[in-house]
Amino acid sequence: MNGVPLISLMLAIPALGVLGVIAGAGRDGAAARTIALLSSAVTFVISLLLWVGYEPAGARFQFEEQVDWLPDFGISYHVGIDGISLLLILLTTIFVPVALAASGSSVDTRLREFASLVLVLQFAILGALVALDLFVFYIFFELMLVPTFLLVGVWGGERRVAAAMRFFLFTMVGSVAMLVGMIALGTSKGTFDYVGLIDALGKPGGSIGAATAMWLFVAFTLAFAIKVPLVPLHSWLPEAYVQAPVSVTVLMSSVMAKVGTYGFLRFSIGLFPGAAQEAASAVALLATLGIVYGALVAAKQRDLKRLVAYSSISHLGFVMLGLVAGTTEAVQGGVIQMVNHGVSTGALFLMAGMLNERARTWAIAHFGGLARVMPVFAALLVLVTFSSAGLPFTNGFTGEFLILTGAFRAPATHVWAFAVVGAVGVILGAVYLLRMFQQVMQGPVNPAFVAGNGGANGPFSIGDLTGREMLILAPLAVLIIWIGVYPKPFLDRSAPAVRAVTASFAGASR
Amino acid sequence: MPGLPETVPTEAYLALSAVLFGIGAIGVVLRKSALTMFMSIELMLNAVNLTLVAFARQFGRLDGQVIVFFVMAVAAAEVAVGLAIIVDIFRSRRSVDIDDVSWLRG
Amino acid sequence: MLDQLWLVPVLPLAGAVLNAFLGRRFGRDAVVAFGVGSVALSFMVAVGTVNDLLAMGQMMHGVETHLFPWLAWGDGAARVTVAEVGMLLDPLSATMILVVTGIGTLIHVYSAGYMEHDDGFARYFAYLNLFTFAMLVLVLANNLVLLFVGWELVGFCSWALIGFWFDRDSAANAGRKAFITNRIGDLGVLVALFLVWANWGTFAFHTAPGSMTPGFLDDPAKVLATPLLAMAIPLLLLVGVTGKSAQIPLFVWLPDAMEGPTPVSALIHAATMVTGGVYLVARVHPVYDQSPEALLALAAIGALTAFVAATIATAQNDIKKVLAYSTVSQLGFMVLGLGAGAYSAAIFHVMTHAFFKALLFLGAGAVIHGLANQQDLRRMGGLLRYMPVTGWTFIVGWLAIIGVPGFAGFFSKDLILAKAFGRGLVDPTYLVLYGVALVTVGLTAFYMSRLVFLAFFGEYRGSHDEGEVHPHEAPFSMLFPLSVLAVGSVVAGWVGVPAFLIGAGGEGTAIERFLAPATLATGVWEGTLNHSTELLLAGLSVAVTLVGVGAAGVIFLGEGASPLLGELVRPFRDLFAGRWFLDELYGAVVVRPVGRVSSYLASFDAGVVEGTVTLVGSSVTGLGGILARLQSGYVRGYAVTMLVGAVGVVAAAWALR
Repeated sequence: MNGVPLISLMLAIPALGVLGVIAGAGRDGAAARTIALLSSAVTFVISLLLWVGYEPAGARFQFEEQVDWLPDFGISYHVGIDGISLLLILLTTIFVPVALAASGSSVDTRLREFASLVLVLQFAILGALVALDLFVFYIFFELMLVPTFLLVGVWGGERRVAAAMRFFLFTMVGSVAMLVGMIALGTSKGTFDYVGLIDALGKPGGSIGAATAMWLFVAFTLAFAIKVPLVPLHSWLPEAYVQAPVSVTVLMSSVMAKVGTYGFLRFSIGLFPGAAQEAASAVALLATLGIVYGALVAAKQRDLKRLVAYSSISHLGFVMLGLVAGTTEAVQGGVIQMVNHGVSTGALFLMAGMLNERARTWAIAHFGGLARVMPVFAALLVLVTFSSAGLPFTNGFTGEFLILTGAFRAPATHVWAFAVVGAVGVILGAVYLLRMFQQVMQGPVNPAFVAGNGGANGPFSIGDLTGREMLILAPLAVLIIWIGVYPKPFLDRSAPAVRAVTASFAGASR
Repeated sequence: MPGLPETVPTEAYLALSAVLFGIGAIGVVLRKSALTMFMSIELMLNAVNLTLVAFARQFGRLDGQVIVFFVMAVAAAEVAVGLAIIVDIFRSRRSVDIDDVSWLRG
Repeated sequence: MLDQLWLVPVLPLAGAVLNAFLGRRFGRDAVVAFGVGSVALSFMVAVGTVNDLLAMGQMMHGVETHLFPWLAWGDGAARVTVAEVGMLLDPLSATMILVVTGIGTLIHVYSAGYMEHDDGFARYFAYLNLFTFAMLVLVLANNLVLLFVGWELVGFCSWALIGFWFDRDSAANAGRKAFITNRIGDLGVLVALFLVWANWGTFAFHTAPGSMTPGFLDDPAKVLATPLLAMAIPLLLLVGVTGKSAQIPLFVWLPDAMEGPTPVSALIHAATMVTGGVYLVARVHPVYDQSPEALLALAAIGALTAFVAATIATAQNDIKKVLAYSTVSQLGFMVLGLGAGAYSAAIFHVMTHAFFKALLFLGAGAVIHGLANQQDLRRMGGLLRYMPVTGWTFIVGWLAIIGVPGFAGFFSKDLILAKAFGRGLVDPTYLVLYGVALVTVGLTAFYMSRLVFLAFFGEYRGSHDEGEVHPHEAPFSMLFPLSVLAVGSVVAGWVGVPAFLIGAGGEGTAIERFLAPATLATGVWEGTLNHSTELLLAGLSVAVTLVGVGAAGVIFLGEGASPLLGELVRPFRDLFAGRWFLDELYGAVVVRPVGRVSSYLASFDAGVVEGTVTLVGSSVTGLGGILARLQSGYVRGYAVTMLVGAVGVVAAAWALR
């Protein structure tokens, strides 16, 4: 297995899949989804091989490949994974087929273009996660924009174009800042290689000075903070998530947002631990603000999808708080919470989408009493809702508890207080999630769903989950319980990489 | 011929070049016909060429002459493209009045 | 048998899983088999393990079982463990698992009859089994995080079961209120957990074999930077206790929780879950021993809660609401006991209370069942004649809760009162609290007697003639648990017969000696009152009880209160019937302000944040619009501009030469 360039193979499959979809699917695109699913299934298998082959006790980066590209500028095609990227790669390879399968009836035009754009997005995300060269990372990071812009702008809801445009512009502003920072850093050290840069910066006399480091940290962080997003840079998110078709929303929230948090951990903190340490309180403040703000705003939403969108802001605040706290528990929690957010928020979006397919509305007030109508759906929604609210033995608790416990003893000033405020956010999470659950699932059945003639769905006009829908949600339910009860396999894999980060972090604080 | 310099001084070339350039510039600004504007531009280009050659001779170096060749090549290409555009405009509008072609306003 | 301890929680979990996935397919008999069978088996295993534990004789911390690493990573030397999944069986948890599985089994049996006609049968048993699992996790946990897991999971099950009849908005609301109120309390626990981790670097109660870090209960004196922080942990945990064990100020959820099916009220909201807070304090008592202030806070909250809840109970007309407030009041007694440093007395009362309160709730359930969902005491009366088994067992429960000598409640309640009084000899504040508790004993006798007299004596006041409701006795599956619990409500107290009654020697009562390894306070005042003082205290509380029963008898069996008395107590009755208007207060102080902030932020997000972004966008477009006008489209215009520009640049360069 050693000789096989698994990572390049993993990147090649979605790229080939795009060609396959274009060539294989007829003009009506009937086969497009099948081909794309097939391609994403193969990618998933390859990512499983990475999971199996990854040695927690081994080298810092594994499955490394490096080929010179623009040697004069110190740019090379350098890819490799550590435990953190490994977890997120798996998250990606799981969610792309899920999103494709879930696109169902919400996407029924231009299937060929849709399927190939989803694969392009997967290609870009995976590329960003494996890149160990800043330049290569930047290319993949920017490449994510194109398919997302089109996916929102073409297949979205009524105000899709404005939403896509706003998303594009916001992200662009951040990217440009990062590009400038990257060029400044790369040219001053003569290489864009991540490992090379860390070595160069860590060498005695290799430091770039605290002020410069802070500027560069801010430039990089701006890009990632917008992608995540961190309050107050979030205003592209609700519109984009609401306007996008459900499967695209899922990809954006579950996977693409993770590239933001991943980039923050890998590059902002990884390259500039000193500056990160210094800015920790400020970032933690914004993260905590996001936790509380997102939760409070979510509590007042009347639109199911918008509610989940704001809850996503709140949950990503936890991730950022954990990453910036810098203790091993907190960063471990932050990493696992990236996966959790993907699984739980993704599942919430998917289930909201399933309701929408049946009722053709997102308005919470139009539901009610659905637990009577859709008992299986209700049971799953209980699981997902409480996982999102951080109930122990579900994934949400594993992440949030580690984050908050670790943040509480973080060395940076006042971060402990943010952990306490974050804990308040856990309560607020329960408030809006339970209210949502009650309004949608409990109470008397909304008469709109009573058919009364005993058709295919019994006395109701809409049916419970179909087999396909259960198949989509089943892996997510398994992950929710698995990470909740036995997170060790995940934590084991991320531990060495997290330790490397926290060591540099602690070293920087002297 | 005593009293006269052995060669034409550089200043004379420059003066001629300035006059040519001025004529060209005024032509571009004042004339309405696209073709005349075009010829005026050529006039300006050649004024510049003249300057370049004059200096090249004065300093005894070749760079200026090389650049002139570049300019001539570019001018030739420009003529080809520009004339094609003008012909096309004429075909669609039956006129080469440049003020008629103002669709690209903000 | 100790090796099979893991079966105790796992069996109910298996029952829950089976019922959740297959219950609807298998039919009711299978659901009952899974649901009741799993808990009954779990009870048997529990008995076996506890028996083995007893056979081991004297022990320090009991037996720990390490199951698997949970919040942990790395292997070998690089292993970091935040929390593991493991169990601790010591006298304290042994008592609790017997109560949980034993009474749990009875209530499961009862439920099979009570819920027979409900179409959510499988769901009901799945949740009830899951609850049993969660409660066992809570009491068996060998570290604080796992305890918190159980703590939260029981809250979740409570949410699901209170809102079991989710078609009713009131039930769904009550479930949500219970969960969120509990979560507010949990915030305290969570922050206490952070402090524990920051201070001790471990959540393990006791030192694991081969571990470098001692368990935090083994090293309670290692405190944070300041005494204030040392006090912080017990006080923060106390916040959690007020939520879970329904104490002031967070008890408001428990009465609403009566929206759930009655067996749920009996199991979760009387016998087990609500005692979780008491258990928590007993479990981590070394931390409390460090802080007399925290103990005093516990005692004060307990006594006050006992009193307030008892007053409210005197003015309720819903049979379940009376019992709910009675539960709050009794929990207050337990917390008072904890505050007096008498952890084993509190646990003793947990045990006896589990019997008689489960009995009372199940009896109330049988009454409600027999009256076709009538819960109003004013529509009952004379039921002893119609449902003798329910009636007589209920009377046993009544005698137990008011503390008639010989019945279970007498022994445990008196032990708490004696301990509070004893501590009062050191710290006079406790004497005041003792006084409050004594008054509450009288109130307890009054409101419980009122309930019994109104429901079971006198004439039936329901609608006979309409021919709809005929009071009838419950089926055997419901009567059997009642009978067992009635026996328990008597004999459960006998493990705590005080020395002054039987003349036996030794320190304290049998139950105290049993629990001592786990719950004996260190460093706080311990002492023994002499026997005559104890006898006097017991006599005093019996006398107060008799006054309470007598007053209730005069008012509700005899002539009724005189109009003058009625006028005099009216303001109090209004206050009590209005539950001291706490719900209104919280509505005004917490719920609505949070809602307002939330609305404000939502409009802020939609208005200001959106607005700012739109403003940036539109100003860019606007500026572009203005500049765009320079693009006239006239080529010669551009040429002039260019010329002028070029001349300008050259001129500027020359001028600045």
